[in-house]
Amino acid sequence: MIALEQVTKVYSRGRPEEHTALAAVDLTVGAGERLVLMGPSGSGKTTLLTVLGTLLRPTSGRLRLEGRDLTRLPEKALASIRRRTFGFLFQEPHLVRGLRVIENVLLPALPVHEPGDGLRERALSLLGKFGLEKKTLARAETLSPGEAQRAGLARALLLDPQVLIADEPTAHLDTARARELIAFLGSLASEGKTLVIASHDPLVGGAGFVNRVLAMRDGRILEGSSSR
Amino acid sequence: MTLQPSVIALQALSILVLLSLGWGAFWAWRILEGWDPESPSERQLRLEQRAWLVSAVVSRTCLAQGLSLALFLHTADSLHRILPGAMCAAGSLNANAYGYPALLMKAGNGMLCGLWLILNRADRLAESFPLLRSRCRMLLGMLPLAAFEFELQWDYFRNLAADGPVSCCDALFNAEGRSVLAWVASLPVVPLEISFFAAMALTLAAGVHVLLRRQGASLFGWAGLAVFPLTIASLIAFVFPYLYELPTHHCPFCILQREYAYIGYAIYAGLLGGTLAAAGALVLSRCAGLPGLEGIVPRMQARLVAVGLLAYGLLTAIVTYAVLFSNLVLVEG
Repeated sequence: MIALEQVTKVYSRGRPEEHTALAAVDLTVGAGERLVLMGPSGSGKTTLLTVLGTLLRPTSGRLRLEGRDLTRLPEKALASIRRRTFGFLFQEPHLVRGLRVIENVLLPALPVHEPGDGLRERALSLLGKFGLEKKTLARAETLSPGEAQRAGLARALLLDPQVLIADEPTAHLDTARARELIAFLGSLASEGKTLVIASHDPLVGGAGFVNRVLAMRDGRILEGSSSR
Repeated sequence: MTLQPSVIALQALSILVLLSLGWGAFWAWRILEGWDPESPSERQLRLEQRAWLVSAVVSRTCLAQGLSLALFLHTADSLHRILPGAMCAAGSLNANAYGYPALLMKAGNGMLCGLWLILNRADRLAESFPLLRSRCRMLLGMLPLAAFEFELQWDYFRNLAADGPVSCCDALFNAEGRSVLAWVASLPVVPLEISFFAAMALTLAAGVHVLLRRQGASLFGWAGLAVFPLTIASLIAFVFPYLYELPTHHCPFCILQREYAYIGYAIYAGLLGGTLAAAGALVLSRCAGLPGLEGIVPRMQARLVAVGLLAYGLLTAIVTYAVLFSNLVLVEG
């Protein structure tokens, strides 16, 4: 279980351009939950995801994972937890141009120093699952946007994280490709993974696998957000 | 003021250590004043991040303090070439009233830094900072000691005069003299040899017991502390004469020179390393009951004991070699 307690994030603290992206947010995400954060641009969705995924430290408040306070951990310990616990899928898949698809998917394994063989098989299995088995040796830059996003999803899942954090995963996809990606996300939900997705795409918010939708505005979670 | 490169390096290092400890002590005071681990406030989060930064900076400072001790010894040794009458660091340090106090302060502060590093390591592993207040208080205490050490070191180098004769080590560590060191140098060899090897064997056995049974770290700690003065006495009374192969030469500083393959550095590293490991194991046993340190203390104690065994093993091996293979015969068989 992940819990945010009174989390505030202020950018450019003390400067004229100071901006409060999150304002005393309380949120609990249970194991296996499929949560979608919806709201307009600038409402704090991405900041909330990055704080939740330990990529960004809050200005105040606490972030707990299974009761363990992550806020006070040093970066080294945090990186280890992040690598084991979270998978990230961003708006842009950020594949490394010039590398093959399989090499891109294996990138998260580089700092882990785990035996390469098992992970390579897992990478191939994930690429097969997401319909990219014929693209494993293709260069990243030759993929279509939909294929690139699925390769990004495979990369996010390589180390079998408990939680997948996805930020606007369908933003650059046409409707058919977006539905395809949502179906893949749904298959992860059926495997028991915790999904936290930020999106303003109604297709994502209305997807069948989602069991909670929260609306955000001005750095706050709005009262009366729906649960299913 | 003698402006040799090593003196300048030493002074610069000491200033850096002092500034860094001063900065750390400032934040230690702020942390002691405002620490509230349950609070989610911005102030508390900033203090937590600052606590990590202080930990990282002061850790390196403490390592620099250890380096500073070795450099001070090396510098004192090299200065004997410009001081008439001096043959090693013993004469250089005796050139004015500040040399030996500066060395003792450096050694003492080095040990304190080592203990701080051990507590810091335990605290970092615990995540919830159970030793933070102790570390902060210790840091506040270390600052004036470091300042005093810097003052002594500064006065030592400032008052070094190359135009007057100084005493050589033979005059200072002569067994015929009336000083405490002379009394130590004149202690009977056979009882001291037996005491040294028996005490070291017991300490090593206590260490092995800790590694095998995961208990008794306090005993190892006390044994290490008890063996320290005995080892100092043994080194001066019989180990150094064996190494010099001169029955009347007891100097603890000539052994740092190239003629003796710098073996003195290994001897002192073994002694100080072992003592620090033993003291660390002892201090940690006082923290064993604190929440968050339950699994950490025994693990760290085992590592410290392993380090202590290596250090004492090295020291004992050198002493044994000196006793067995020296051309000097102090004890008739």
